[in-house]
Amino acid sequence: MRLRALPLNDLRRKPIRTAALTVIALVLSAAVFGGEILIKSLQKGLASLEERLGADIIVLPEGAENKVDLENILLQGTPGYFYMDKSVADEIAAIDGISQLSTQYFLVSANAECCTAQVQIIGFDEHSDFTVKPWLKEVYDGSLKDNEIIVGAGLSTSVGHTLSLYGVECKAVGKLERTGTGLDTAVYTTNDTVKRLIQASADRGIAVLSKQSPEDVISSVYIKAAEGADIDELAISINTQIDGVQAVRTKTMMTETADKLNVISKSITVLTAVVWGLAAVIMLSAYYLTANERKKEFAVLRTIGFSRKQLSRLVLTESLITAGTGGITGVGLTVLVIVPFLKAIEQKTALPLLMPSHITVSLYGAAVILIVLLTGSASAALSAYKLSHIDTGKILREGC
Amino acid sequence: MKKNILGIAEFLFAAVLTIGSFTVFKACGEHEGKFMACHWAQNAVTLIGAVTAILALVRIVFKNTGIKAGIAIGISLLSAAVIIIPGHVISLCMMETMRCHSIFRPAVTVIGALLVIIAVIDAAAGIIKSGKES
Repeated sequence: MRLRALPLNDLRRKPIRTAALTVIALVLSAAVFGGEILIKSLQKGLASLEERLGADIIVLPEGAENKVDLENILLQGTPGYFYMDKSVADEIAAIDGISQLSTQYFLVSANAECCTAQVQIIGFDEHSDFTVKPWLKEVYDGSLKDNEIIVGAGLSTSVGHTLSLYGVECKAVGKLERTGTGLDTAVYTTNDTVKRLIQASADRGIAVLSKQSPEDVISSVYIKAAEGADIDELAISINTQIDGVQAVRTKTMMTETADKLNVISKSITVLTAVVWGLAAVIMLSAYYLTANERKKEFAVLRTIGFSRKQLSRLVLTESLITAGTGGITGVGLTVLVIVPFLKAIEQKTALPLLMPSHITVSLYGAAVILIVLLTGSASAALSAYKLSHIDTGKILREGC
Repeated sequence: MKKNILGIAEFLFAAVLTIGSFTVFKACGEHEGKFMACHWAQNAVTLIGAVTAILALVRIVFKNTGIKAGIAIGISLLSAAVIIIPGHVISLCMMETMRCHSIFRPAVTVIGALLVIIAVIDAAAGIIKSGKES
């Protein structure tokens, strides 16, 4: 038997011990890697939501339910609608401290032709817009023409293809970047096309969810504060000077989500640390107990000429094989479970999740495998030292 | 038993794929008597899953290592095919938040990928073994 094959043969001789150590490494790597990926996805999702909104203040019609509706649209993609008089936009524009202002009109489609799903249609003003176009992944020429739409990244409609809304074939001319928010499943178009969709729904006898025209009403006003302006002051001014509206700071609106995210992140971190600690203790105990069990085997190896260094190397190689196998399998299984099901996790947690790039995920995977290898080797180091310093003569004489 | 462990694993995964495709991780349901596009993807996955499960059973029954390896190659190709059915060969619903995108497709991808890995290992081991036997 070749000496190089000795660690593998040792592991094969004790399949239960080997399997147990591998499973511990697997659980450790899956917990650390899975936890880290989820935390990073949550952080990236929230940052993306903040960036995606692009406004400092959003003005909505007064009423707590409207704020909840907006949060549902933004976080979960649940289609919703609410309206206020269009003159509100002019009144807001007259207030000092506003750099940019853009209005949006929300409409919910009846089920799109292919599926039993309602689509959030957002009518926006192309000239004043500063929240939709910056997110265009595939840029179209010029402005939106009749029955042309921009689709979110969460819709399967590709640029150049059409989407049937209330029987009107709308051509997708642009697609937005993925943001991990509910806005990924929205459709954006001009107010003229929205009017056409409302008319088409009436012609077809479909009970349209909105009977109010974008000529008279709007759903929200997005505001970018002027440089140096106090955003809180601006929100208070809007709330006190204009009746029937509520101005919400986008940061305040996201505080609740950020708090939820912090609790989840902390729980995941604590759980990961506990699993790590437990795995390290179990590994250490397993190697320590094994060291007592294998004293005789190592005494024999010493007598046939193995040096202390070779014995230490044998124990460390065994630990690297089990930790490496478990670590790689754990990372692989986590990728198989978390990456494909991220959308389902997002829907269940109602939090914006955006997967880090493939390179970042790969780097995390490599780092976790390294951590598991280090934990395995550190746990085995004590027994390696103990086994390489045994009193060979005494053990062979006494048989224990 | 030891000889057939990979065959048994293939059968179990294929059975989970077949049964799960119309139960636990089924695609979107019917609405007002109309089926959506993903329903046909679900039917195709169920059919391929059932064929794969039968092939895995045949692979367990046969004694010849070469035949076992041949069937394992077939299972790996079928499993690779099942992964690309939802969304590529047969389109799914429009929105990524729908069940066919968030549950059905990921589940088929994960089980299909595991089946491919097991079947490839099985086929490679079978080819090496049959080479040694002859």
